[in-house]
Amino acid sequence: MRREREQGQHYKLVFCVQILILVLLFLGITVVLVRVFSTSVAVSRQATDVNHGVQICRNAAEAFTAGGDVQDAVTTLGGTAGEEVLYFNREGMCVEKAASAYTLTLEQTEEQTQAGTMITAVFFFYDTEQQCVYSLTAQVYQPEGGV
Amino acid sequence: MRGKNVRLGSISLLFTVAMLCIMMLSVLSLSTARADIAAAKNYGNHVTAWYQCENAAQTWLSETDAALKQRGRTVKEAELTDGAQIKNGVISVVLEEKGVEKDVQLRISAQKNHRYQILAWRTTTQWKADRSLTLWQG
Repeated sequence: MRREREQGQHYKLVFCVQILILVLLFLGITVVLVRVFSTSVAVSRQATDVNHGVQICRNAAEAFTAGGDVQDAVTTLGGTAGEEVLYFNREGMCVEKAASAYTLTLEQTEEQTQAGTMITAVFFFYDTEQQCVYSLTAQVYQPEGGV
Repeated sequence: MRGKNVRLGSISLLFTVAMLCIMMLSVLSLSTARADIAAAKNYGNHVTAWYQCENAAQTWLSETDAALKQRGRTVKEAELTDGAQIKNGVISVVLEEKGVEKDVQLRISAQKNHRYQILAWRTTTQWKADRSLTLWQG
């Protein structure tokens, strides 16, 4: 009778130790998995940011090179003429600053050459943490008398 | 004692299979995310190279226009930059930036205010086979 009781206690102890080991193992693996998944999410978001940055800068550069004026890029992307900073949401749509996730700044400089003007536009694309994700420089030459 | 074995076998098996599945998913999600960022950066580098080539062509155009303004139709190849050639009144040049090529052709005009006419302004990229993966040939 006493021996059976001791065996029962031993059985419970072994069961509890094994369950504890399993739970600890589960917790350890879960921590590792959460870190791997959160890294995946961060890397994936970074990839989305770069894709948006490249696409929006490219659209801006195309509009700029067509007309030789950075304001053409502003209006083409959905902004109001005269703006030098545009804001975009996560879908890449031009929105108000309060609802934005990305920022695009547009800078234009002009340099007189021997026979015309070289217009340079630089586009900087920033993410929510104001880190520059992508930048693009486009130039257009305009001869003084027209082509 | 034989009848009172600790019965953790089924739980352990379920646990192991579940963990293996989740581990597999996590590795797949991480590798997919890394492939995405690599593709996005490649795309960015290609667009940058494309515009560097375009900018080089615009710079060449301004230099050529300056030469034409100075010399008109009597301009010589030696006065042009980037190895431009003149043939039958047409100036042609091929510019290259990081694998992107720009082929530009200008017809020299006799008019004072319209010194040239753009005949070609083509951008091309040389295709290179990606041999980084060893594919099964069957």
